[in-house]
Amino acid sequence: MPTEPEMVHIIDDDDSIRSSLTWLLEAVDIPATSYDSAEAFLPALKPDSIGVLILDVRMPGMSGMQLLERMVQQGSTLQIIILTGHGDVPMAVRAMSNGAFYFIQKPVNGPQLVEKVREAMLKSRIAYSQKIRLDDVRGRVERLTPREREVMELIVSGHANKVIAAELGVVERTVEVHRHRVMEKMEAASVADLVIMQQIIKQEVD
Amino acid sequence: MKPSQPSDLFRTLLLCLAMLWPGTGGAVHETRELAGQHLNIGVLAFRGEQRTEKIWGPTVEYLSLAVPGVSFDLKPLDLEQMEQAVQAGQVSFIITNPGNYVELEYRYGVSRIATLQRYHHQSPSRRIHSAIIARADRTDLQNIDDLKNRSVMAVSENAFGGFQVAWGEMKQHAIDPNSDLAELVFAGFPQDNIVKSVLDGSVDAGIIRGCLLEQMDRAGLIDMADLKVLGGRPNDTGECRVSTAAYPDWPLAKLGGTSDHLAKLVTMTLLAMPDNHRAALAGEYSGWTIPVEYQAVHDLFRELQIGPYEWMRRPTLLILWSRYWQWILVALLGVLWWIWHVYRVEQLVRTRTSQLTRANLRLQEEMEERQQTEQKLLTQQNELAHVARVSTAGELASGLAHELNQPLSAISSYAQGCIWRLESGRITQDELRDVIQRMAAEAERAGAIIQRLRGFLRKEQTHCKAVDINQAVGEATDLFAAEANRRGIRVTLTLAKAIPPVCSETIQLQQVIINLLRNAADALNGLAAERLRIELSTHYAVAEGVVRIDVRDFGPGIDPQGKSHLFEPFFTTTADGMGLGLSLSQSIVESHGGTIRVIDNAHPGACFSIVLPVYKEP
Repeated sequence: MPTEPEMVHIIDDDDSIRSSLTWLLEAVDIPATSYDSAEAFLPALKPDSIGVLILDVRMPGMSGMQLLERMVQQGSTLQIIILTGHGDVPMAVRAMSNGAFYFIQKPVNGPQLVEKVREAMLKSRIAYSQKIRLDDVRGRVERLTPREREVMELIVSGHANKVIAAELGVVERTVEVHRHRVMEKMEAASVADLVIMQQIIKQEVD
Repeated sequence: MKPSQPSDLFRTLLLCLAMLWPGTGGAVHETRELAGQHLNIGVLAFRGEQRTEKIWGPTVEYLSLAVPGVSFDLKPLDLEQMEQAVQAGQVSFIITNPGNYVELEYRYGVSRIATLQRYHHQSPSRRIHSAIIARADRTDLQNIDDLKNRSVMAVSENAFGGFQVAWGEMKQHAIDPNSDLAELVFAGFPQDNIVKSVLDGSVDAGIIRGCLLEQMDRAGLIDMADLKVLGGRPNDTGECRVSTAAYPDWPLAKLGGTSDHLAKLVTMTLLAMPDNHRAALAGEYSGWTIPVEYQAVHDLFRELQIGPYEWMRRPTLLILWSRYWQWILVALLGVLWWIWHVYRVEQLVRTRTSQLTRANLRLQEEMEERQQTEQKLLTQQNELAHVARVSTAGELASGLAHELNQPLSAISSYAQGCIWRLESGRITQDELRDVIQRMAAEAERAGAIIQRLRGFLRKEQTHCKAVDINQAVGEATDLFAAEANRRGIRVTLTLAKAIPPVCSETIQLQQVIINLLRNAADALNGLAAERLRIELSTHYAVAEGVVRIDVRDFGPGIDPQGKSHLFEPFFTTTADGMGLGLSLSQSIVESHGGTIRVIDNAHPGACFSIVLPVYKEP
């Protein structure tokens, strides 16, 4: 599993907010970079990465809400914390229902922000690893021939080689060859591994 | 008989005239159209068909020969047949006595085209008379008046010269032949019999046509000396003695359907009949002349109520009804229609009037509605302006909060970061100094924001000028008048005299006054009419060096619990209020160096006072 640097991205048009938040987060060893607009952040955006976005809703140009919607659409594994001003509760509620991780009112309460950033980072990490795993398993399945996929389905269903051979109308020896290839291509040490991988794909499909 | 020269001349002249008649040119053509026609001439036959044929046959023959292409046939007809033939159009021309002619003229529109000229020397319009005769030795019978209670003989009820003319004369003498005579006998033709009956004494008197006696005398049938004519007078020519006025001779008449052209031809032919023509001789006449006036016959018949005037005998209404029932019916229908029409017109007028009234009402309603709409619009505009002011304040507050949030947020984050770094001992003095400097800068930024806001609120003070509050109050009241009017509120104004000017910006001061007026008006909602009152007054407190504007209402007063919150933003006692009015008003007044006070001992109601310092020359 490749490791991505975990990062907090602060996007705010206010200089002092960016620099004070960076100061705050770095005090607790959370690496942070900042951008003065959504447009400035987009080139640096890697949808599949571990990280947290701290986003001001009121910005010139692309608003925080627009960026949020875009990232959710892309299925980004980054988590988003919205910063709102006084009296923007309806907007915050909308942000949450649109897929934001959390919203924090200004003036910012430092400990609360750090706590939420950590939670968000954890969620991002999980989402990221799930996504990596899924991509990995999908890549392995794609290496299987159609016949091997059939055999794998039957193995996962818990059938013995003899039953599988009868089911597919081949001799048992052929099934044994297929089984070996499946285990090899799927890099599965045991049938249990195979079942887990099957589960991962199914979950994604569901 | 000697032919008379003037009469011949006249006849020739007439013929010439007829030739010159316009349309004579077309006569040839029209004559051709008549070719081969057989037409009937009806002749009144008193004395049998044979005699009639003998008298009138040659005249009809003469016409047949003289009118090219037409042959005429003689139709002898008695009175009854005559009427039937005329009614049915079986004859084209008729020759009849004056009485019958007048009746047919009246009933069927026949018109005379020529009158018979019996003798050259006698006017045909004064030709027919009656003679009432008695024996010469009857001394008791001298005048017509003497006929009363005598027996009288006549030829026929319908005979013109033989009875009707005499009847007319008797009527003038107040004798009704039907009731005043002892006996009235109709003996029929010939009239000679009547003369005989008188002579032999079987009747007292007899009615015969004029000149018959003289004729009979000349013929040697009687001796004139044996008889006398009652009321006798000579006729026009002096040849005969007669008892009555003279009436015109027989006419020849055409029926309505007979063509004028043919009638003209017949007339011309008759007028052109030569003297001593066979026809004239047979008919015992000298010729024909232009038709004469028959009015005398009409007058006689009207007098006798016979012929066309028979209806006059019957009771008037019945007669009218029987003769004119169609017209009466039409008239009645007309009257009914008129009544209906009048009724209808009335109805229409009533309907139209009520429609107009309704339309008027609707118009009034619409006008009221429009006025209300306008009023509402005005109020809405006022309210809109109010809301605009309030929302400006709201936006100001919101913007202010956001702006202040930024530096506060930054300061908070810097501080928290410092704390954590200090705790973990990972901060250098330089870093700390740097961050604290940034925090100070943020604090200054916050301060600048607040400074800017205060400047904004105080901005008007720089435009402060001397303002006459009486004038400001007056203008504010004027502005509020429409709303007060709408809500039925009376605003009374009491202005202090010799009041010094205050330091103000007029518009803002007006806004505050209107605000207080509106609050006062709101407090009066739902109260009785006599309490819908606002008193506005200005005062000058010399000792304090301030002027005061009092706005006093007669509403329920201020809730003691609410009193302390009155000037807080968003505090409101009305359902649709924003709660910013008083707080904003106070801000404005305070920016003028003044204040708003509440006087709660103004029972009933509440009194708000705007207190402003007197303007001092800078």
